Parts: sequence; structure tokens; C-alpha cells
Amino acid sequence: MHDFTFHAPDSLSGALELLAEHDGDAKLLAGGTSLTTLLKQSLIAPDHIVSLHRVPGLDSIEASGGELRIGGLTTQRDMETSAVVKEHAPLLAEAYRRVATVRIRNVATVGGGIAQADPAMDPPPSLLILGASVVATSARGERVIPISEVYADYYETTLEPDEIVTELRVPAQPSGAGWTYIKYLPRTEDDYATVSVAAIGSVEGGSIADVRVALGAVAPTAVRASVVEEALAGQAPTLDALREASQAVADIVDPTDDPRGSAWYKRDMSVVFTRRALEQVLGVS
Amino acid sequence: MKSCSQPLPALAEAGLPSLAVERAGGEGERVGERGASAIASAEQDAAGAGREGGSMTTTPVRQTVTVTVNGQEYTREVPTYRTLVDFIRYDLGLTGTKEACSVGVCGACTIELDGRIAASCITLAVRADGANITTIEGVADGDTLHPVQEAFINHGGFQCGACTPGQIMAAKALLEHNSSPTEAEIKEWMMGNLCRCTGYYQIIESIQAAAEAK
Repeated sequence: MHDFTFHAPDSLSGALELLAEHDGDAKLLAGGTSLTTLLKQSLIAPDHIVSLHRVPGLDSIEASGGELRIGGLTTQRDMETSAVVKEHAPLLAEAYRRVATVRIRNVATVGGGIAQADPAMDPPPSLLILGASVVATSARGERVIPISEVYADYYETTLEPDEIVTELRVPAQPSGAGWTYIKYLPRTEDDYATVSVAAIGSVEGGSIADVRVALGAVAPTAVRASVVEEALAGQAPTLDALREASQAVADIVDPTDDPRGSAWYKRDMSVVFTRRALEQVLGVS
Repeated sequence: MKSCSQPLPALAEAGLPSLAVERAGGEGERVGERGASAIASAEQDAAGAGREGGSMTTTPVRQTVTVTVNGQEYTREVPTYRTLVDFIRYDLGLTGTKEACSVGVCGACTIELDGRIAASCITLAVRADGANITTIEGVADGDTLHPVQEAFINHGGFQCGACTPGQIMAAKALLEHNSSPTEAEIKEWMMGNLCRCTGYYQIIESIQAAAEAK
């Protein structure tokens, strides 16, 4: 591992100044579960690391005005166990519950996970269908970015090097709607998904009123299956309709071969698990 | 090839024997295959040669880390890239904590960091500055073993023992969080602690017994 100068500022402004000062030559460390692994494998070699573990006030979870406001340094374990998250966005609590193991969730943070942008992580599909947005703060100011515009490519985001994810905003999940997060794991429970699907749906007066679906681990970023949503909106919720609409997922995923499955298998399973997720949330059997 | 006979100061403090082991590779910065000599010679390489074209400075950046481990405060100056598991094992001489996978997956290096279990192999020692840490050495109360330790002995919760310190740390944390877990809850909590001897049933039985004993 390369060495580096380790900074542990005790305020957000201190952290932002360090990032501005070491423009492009500093990496942020929150929980460190991803960054330390990259450092150990010499995949990154920054001269400066700015740790956020002494920065106060960025780990609260609040619900106000129909949305959750979650501090960027909130741990993933706190997302899983928070009564506020379970009440307003149970899908999100479930997605964070499925991340790795408790040992990792205890330290890994919400903001760190967003900035890492690993497409196989568990939360992104749920964040996409809940319409989350990210508050990115730098010494230059603050901007709010829809999560769909944050993820750019494998491990790449549109965040600037001097920005810190200070808050995640998530509109409350529609009450009464069905929801699910399916994590398909052919190997071990603590693994990354082979395919993951998050979905929300409701039926009113015999037709599909609200349906949202997104997939993880099968493309350079999590992908929202808008083509499926559009095909189903207003339709009667029948198994045939779900089966037919789910086929379109095969054309929007772009999986790679890896030990969790071959590309063709993941493409097939994307269709299968999209259909199963839709069956669950729309009450079709 | 060169040999290194300089132990880390901490090893001498801990009363561990001096090692004089030939180091195989030329991986200057890598604190890889374990042993204090590997770390010491890695630091010598880094101090002496640096890295052509890389960002490695001629002397590795060292920073002071103060932690409380098992109730005792320790202060050491270490290279910033030192992982917490290496810090605990080689700088503090507390070798009960093990390292196996090195990427946070297997659970062998599980410790308690400020009240929550964490993977010490993917935690930087400098990140733990100021932290309160419990390792396997701090679990027993003097000569009285912790109920989880007793249960692992009485119910055959280990074979080779390599994963056991991590299993004990994880199981202890589970019971502090949930004093009477179901089998499903035990499996979910413990799924991140791998046992290559496949003694999983005995591990589950041990945790159930510890819960009942409490």
C-alpha cells in the first residue's frame, strides 16, 4: 500500500477546505470499508486521505414534509434499524439490511456507498425508484442532484472531487403500495447479488396505478426499467401482462461474466426476477 | 534477498521473541505475508529506496495513533497505511485477533470498535485514533471466561480455532444486541464469519447455549 497523509478534520468546513487545497489529490474516507480495500489492492494511490470520522452532525435521520433527510455519514446499519426509515420507506430499510454483513454495515455509510457507486450494491435500485436525491457540498457551495444523475458508470459518479455527499433525500414510499427487494444469490448470503430487483406497485379499480422497477448488478450502474413501467401503466394486472412486459428488461441490462454468473444467465435472470418482483408488488399469482 | 533482524519495538515491549526471517519478495510497500520482520523490512525498503515514478515518499508518512484496547491506552507512531489488524497484532502484540481474507469478508479479524463489531483488516489504524477497542483478549473477566467462550468450549464450537476469536467477538455482540436469538437470527448475524472446518452447527449450538446460560 502506498503511504499518504491522513487528515481527520473535526468540521465539515475543515474537510471541504482540505479537499479544495489538495484539489484532485485527496480521497474521502467515511466508513472506509470500500476505500481501504481499494488502497490495499493499490487500485488507488492518493497522496492525501481526508477522513470524515470526526465531522459531527452528518448522521441524523429525519422525516419532514413527506421526505426523509438522511445525513451522509449515517451508517448503513442505522438505515436498517431506524424506526423512521422503516415507517416512511420500508423498502429502503430492507435494501440496506441486505448489504454485506452487520460488521460492514456498522461502519459503512450512506454517503460513502453512494460515492463508491458499485453497481452491485444493494441500495441503488431502491434509491432510483424512490426518486432519491443527493446533496453534494463543496467549498464552492451546495447542489442537489437526482440519484439517477449521480451514477455515471462502474464506480463512477458525477460528483466532483471536492464534493462531499452531505445528505440523502428520499421521498416517502407511497403508503399502501406493494414493495419488494429481491436479491438473487446463488452463492452465499453475504455476497453481492447476481441480480437484484427493487419494485413498488399498486392497483386501483382493476388496473395498475403505480409501478416502478429497477435492477442492480446487471449494468455499469443500477438501471430503472422505465420500459416495463410504461408498458404496464393502466393495464390489468395479469400474469401474461407481467410476463410480456418483463421481457423488455433483457434489452436494457448489460451484464458481465463473473463468478456470480455469466452475462447470458444474468440477462435471463433479470427477466425472471423482474417478473417475480412485479407479481409480488401487484399481488398477481 | 535480505534479512532483517530488527523487531518492531512493540514486539520487544510485548515480550515476544526477536525474529530474524528472510523476506521473500521485493514488494516494498506491501505489509503482506505476516510477521514483524516483513513489516519492518517493508518500512526499511520504503525508507531507503522510495518508488520510482510513484507517489511513495522517501520515508513513509507516519502518524501517531492513540487507542484504548481492552481498557488500556496505547500510543504508537505508525505508517499511515497500517491496517488496524496489523496495528493490533504487531504494534501492540495482541495476536489473538487473526487476519485471513484481508478484504473484510471472512470475519477472522472481527473486533469491537466503539461498541460495534468491525472488520479490522479494512480499517486503517489512523482512522481508529481515539477509539475504544475490544479484542478477544479483553473478553474474559480475568480468569473467568465469558459465557460465549465457555459455550464454544463445551459445545465444540471450534476445530482448528483460526476463526474462533472472530466468531466469539461476533457472537458476543449478537447476544448483547439480542439476548435470546432464534436460530434464523443467529445464522443471519453470523453469516459473515466463515469457518473452513465447517463447524457451523456446533457454532450455532454454542451461541444458543450461551444465550441460555446468561
